[in-house]
Amino acid sequence: MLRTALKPRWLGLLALLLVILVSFTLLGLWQLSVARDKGHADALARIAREPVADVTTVLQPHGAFPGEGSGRLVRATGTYAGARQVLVAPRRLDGRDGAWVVTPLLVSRSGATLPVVRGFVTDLSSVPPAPSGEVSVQGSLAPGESPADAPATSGSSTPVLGALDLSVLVNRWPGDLYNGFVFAVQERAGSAQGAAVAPSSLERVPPPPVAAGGLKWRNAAYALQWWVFAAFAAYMWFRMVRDDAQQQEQEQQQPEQRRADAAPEERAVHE
Amino acid sequence: MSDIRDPGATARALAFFKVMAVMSGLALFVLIAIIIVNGGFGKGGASAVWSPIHGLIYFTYVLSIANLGFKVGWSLLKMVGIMLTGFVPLLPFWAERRVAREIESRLAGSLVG
Repeated sequence: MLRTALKPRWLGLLALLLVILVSFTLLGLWQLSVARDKGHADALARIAREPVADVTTVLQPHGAFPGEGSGRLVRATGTYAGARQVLVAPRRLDGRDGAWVVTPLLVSRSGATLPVVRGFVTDLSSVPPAPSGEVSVQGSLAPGESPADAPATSGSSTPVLGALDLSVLVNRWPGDLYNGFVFAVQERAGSAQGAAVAPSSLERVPPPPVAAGGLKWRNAAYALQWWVFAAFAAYMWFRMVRDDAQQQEQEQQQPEQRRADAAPEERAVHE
Repeated sequence: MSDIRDPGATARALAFFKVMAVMSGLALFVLIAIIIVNGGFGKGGASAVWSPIHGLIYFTYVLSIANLGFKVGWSLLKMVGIMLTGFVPLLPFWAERRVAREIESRLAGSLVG
């Protein structure tokens, strides 16, 4: 069989088989990594269901944003620096154009600044002021946004930025800055369970939904299928070489068979 | 005399192939229908469930082609050609008719001979 396998025809197909094996294995690995990414998205969705944590335990000022921080529910207690409030525009909420109201919160425990998206306004010229005194903010954590140009004209007395870009904010606001921001879900007066500070004429921005998973097993199945087809290609090659080898063997045996069949006659003639 | 070595096994392999050709043809239709209803590729939902099942049915179709092809002495090109019909709507049904006609006439030849 080895001699058959070394025929140019089978060697050529062997080269093709190796190409198929390598490419299908890589395609399978690619699908496996897709399946893992989907698994990561599932993990993020799970994080959103975790209990509320104090922001100082999740984030450090200027520290890296944790890989599983997106969507994490956090609580931060401190005071708003209302004078340094900014708008981020253009933003849309339920089909309306407007801006996000972003207010720096000086976190009492660390003294660092945490940007808080307090809400959404459609009228950029009348932005409600931030509550004064100590507040306890609860919301969903998010990493900073990519830079974007600020809109040209706003007609607003509040500064308008194009994105919630932390590298811009760190230069705008004094002191240490957290590498992330919070979509406020609830603001309460005081550090404890105080009265809710209702955002007058300020609509909450719902935290962006984390990409839903559920495609994981499909991609894992695709990965498996690539490998099964690779194995099948190898089997095809083996089977064809074996059939060829068997056929050759038969052809070699047949002339001997004929000679054996012919032998008695020859003997008869000689007798 | 026929060129088919084992008519009994070939007839069974042909029956398996016919079933798998029809199933893979139907599975492809279901997949396309789901993708159209979902409004595009990669939208998840029902296609997330059906895609791997379609893949499994297609693989069994490929197995049935090899199983039959080796018994009746098809060339690699012919086998790969028939395997590729599984990617085109309607083509597995056509392949099923064509292969059935070829193998059935060859099998009939083996019974006569």
